[in-house]
Amino acid sequence: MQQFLTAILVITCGGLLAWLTGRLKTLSAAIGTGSCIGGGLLALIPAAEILMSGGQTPDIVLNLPLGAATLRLDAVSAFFSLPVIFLGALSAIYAAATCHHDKHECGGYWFFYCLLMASMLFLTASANAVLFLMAWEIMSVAAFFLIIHRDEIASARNAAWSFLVASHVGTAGLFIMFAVLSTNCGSFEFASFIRTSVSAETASMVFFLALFGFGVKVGLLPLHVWMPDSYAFADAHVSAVLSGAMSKMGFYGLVRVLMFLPVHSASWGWALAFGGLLTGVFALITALAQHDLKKVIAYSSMENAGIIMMGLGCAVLAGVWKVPSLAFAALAGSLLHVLNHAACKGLLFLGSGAVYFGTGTRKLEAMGGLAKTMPYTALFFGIGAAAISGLPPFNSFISEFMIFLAGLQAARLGTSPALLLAGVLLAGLGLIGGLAMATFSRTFGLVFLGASRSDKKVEPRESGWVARLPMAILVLAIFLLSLLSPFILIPVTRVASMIASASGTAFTDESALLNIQPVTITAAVTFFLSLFVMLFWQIRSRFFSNGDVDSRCTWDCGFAAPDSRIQYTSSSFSQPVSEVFSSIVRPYRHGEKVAGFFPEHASFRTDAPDSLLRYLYMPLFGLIDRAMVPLRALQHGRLHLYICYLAVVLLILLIWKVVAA
Amino acid sequence: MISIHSVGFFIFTLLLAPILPGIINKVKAFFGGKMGPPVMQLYYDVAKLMRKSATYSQTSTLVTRLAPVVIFFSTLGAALLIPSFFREACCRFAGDVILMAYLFGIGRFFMVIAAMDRGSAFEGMGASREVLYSALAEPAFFCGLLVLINETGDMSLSGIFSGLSVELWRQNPAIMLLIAVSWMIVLLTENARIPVDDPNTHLELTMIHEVMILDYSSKDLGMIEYASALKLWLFSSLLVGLTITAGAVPSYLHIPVFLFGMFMVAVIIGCVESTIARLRLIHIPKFIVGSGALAIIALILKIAGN
Repeated sequence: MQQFLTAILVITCGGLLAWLTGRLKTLSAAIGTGSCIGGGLLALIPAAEILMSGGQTPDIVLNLPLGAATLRLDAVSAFFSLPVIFLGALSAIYAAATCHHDKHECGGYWFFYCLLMASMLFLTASANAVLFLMAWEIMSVAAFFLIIHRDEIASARNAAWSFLVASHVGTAGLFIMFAVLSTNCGSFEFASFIRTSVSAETASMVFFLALFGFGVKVGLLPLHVWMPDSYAFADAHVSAVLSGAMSKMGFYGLVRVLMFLPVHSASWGWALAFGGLLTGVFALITALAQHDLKKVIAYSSMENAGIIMMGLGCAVLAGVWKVPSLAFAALAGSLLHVLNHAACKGLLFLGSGAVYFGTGTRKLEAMGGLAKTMPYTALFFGIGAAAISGLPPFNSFISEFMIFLAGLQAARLGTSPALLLAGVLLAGLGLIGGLAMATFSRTFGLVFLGASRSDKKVEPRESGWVARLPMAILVLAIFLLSLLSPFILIPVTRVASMIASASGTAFTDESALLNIQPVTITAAVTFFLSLFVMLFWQIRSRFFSNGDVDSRCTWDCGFAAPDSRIQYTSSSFSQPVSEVFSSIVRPYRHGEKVAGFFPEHASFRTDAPDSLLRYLYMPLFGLIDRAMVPLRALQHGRLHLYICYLAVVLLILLIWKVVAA
Repeated sequence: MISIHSVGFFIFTLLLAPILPGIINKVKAFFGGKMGPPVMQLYYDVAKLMRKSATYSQTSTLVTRLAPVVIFFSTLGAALLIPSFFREACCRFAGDVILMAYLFGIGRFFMVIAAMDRGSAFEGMGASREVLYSALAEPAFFCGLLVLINETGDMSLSGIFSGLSVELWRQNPAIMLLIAVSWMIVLLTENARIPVDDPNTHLELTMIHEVMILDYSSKDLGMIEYASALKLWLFSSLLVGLTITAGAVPSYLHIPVFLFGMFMVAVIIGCVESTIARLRLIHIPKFIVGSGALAIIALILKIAGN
């Protein structure tokens, strides 16, 4: 535990030093990166030890004015600190490689980056509600300052404000939740939450408050509206950390709360499963209509949150039904998906950053053909795109496979609710998988393949090797996570059994084996198939390519001068999908109609802002805004009247106190 | 797990797969009052393509060259998992069906990005339609599957299909029929057949599958054509396993009855293609979602019946 705290201190102090040396960009970046990597390594050692051994570190008790507060690192917190450690360090390397492009002062930026990483590590280690909320708040505020870094852009300011408002609305829910828990047991300690039993109604209230509060961070369906804009306007490495690590803290919180409540109710499981399904499907059909590279990736974070939530919901239901092997598949699958998603999403966001530096735009309509000028980024992004679509032999497939396996087991159970759950999991994940494949084949194809759609004459340039290094490491992580998945499942099993045992579900070796064996076979089969593909491809291109010609133009029905303008664009690619789901997406259409026999001008463009933002939040906030207009009379700027308000309120309180006494 | 004595059937499958499109074309020729190409036409085509050298677009990258290999091997991998001739598949384990669906998925992913690789006006069209239709077909397949898992109590494809019997059809005729029809629609969708896609259309604007491989030639095209035929065979064998059922056939008749079943599937596809026209593009999603609805009705019947 001391080592973990030292790591947090190293990162925080490194951040402070980087701020102080902000004038000297290189030094500041070196200190910031160094402290993130050093601190990350320091924190990794105790986390890995706990995951390997399954124990927990001795507690450290802080004597705060509010009472004693415990810091503890157990398997669950160690597991959730892994994405923070890896993505924090890797994104810091990327940030260091790209920060000399930045016209802004970087010192404060580094400080908040380090603070974000430190607060997330502190969050995982706090076993006390007050410490947890403090860390949660610091995390949100640090993230706010990172998003608003480019504050000369109005959209970035708006994005950051909506993030701040959303995360505080969520935090309000968490405050109430912890208040309910602590009045119930008279202490803020997590350990006492677990010991004290709660009535079924209180437990449900606590759970749904937690789902609301943490749902804001993970991007649960109606609470996600801050997400696309914030991820799009933050810098690439910040989005990588926000999406890969910070949103996972929401799941950490949710899992913790599930551990506080010994008796689960089936309604929670259904809420998670259906919430996850709707989140996933909504996210992807909106993602397919987006034209901003980073917004597409942001919506995909939401989709993956949906998948993890479906897994958690299935685990809760399996716990209620007392089917350990089903609970195991679902819980281990969603935990593994947390790691897998962090690796893929980090890679994709860093790749999108490389594309932005290369081309100067995030618009899909202005890209194309980048694979020729940015081969490394194309390779990395392509692997990330295939991986996040859940395709074999990459890592997300393994975790989605486990959640699918949970669905198959539910189908075998045979009771009506189990069949319904199986339907949600199998058909839902099938649809989500298909749409994710559509989203990422579209994104990869539009950005890297075909001919360039840009009218700029500047050649896009590949990023330097330092910026490519974290991406290469993440690609390696993707391969290791899929190839070694049977071994990675051993510590994940430990974490899962710790979570499940809190609610009285005990995994047997049999239930674990039932699920790990198919994963092993799958990993092996896909590995050998990809080996065959590589081998055969080499044989084909080395020995059987006599007379191959590669200089013809693309066949276009005899049209011999194809250029980039005849290609499918992002609007046209997503048109069939938008058509099918037009009741949900509702894209705006802009452009001039084709008119006359020899039309000279014609254009078409679609634009699909988030439907919930447009049809729910905008009218709602407009209504609140109008309702609050009369109150502005109270805010007139006259100081003596303000003091009068204070005096009146104090007087009322005094009278109340006297009367009450 | 791995069953060695099924390897013979696997090789048999690989050898016979290209014959199905031949039978379909013969049926269509019969309806058109023509002789039609020989049943073995696809063998000749693939053999000829294998001898030719390839032409690539100058816009294309490595993706175009890698895709045929991925498509070929992913289909081959799926063939390892799918039981045929009413016997076990070469490789069986709990959840192999998921791997099968996603192996087809990775093949499709490469087909789509390869189509976008050439920067053609038409190939993007095909890609955009393909991804939507296949995503919509996925829930139909899985819903039907989970009812079958529930009926047979096994989580591997081989286990499910060896557990099917005439008894099952007699007990739940409605459910089984709904699944069979919905899987037939999935088969037509996944294999780019009429009424979803017309393999013989002469207008690139209206194609889906064929337009995505417009730019392929020689060995690459041969591999893709072969993989498509194999995919058709695999989906048909799922349908045959579902309708004729392993329990109904004595083991010495497995091979002839299975081959007869495959022949019948090809004839049905040929009849469908000869008698109805391709749907308009805007109606295709409704058709595919309809298959999902059938499978969901089957699931609801099953839940209500419990």
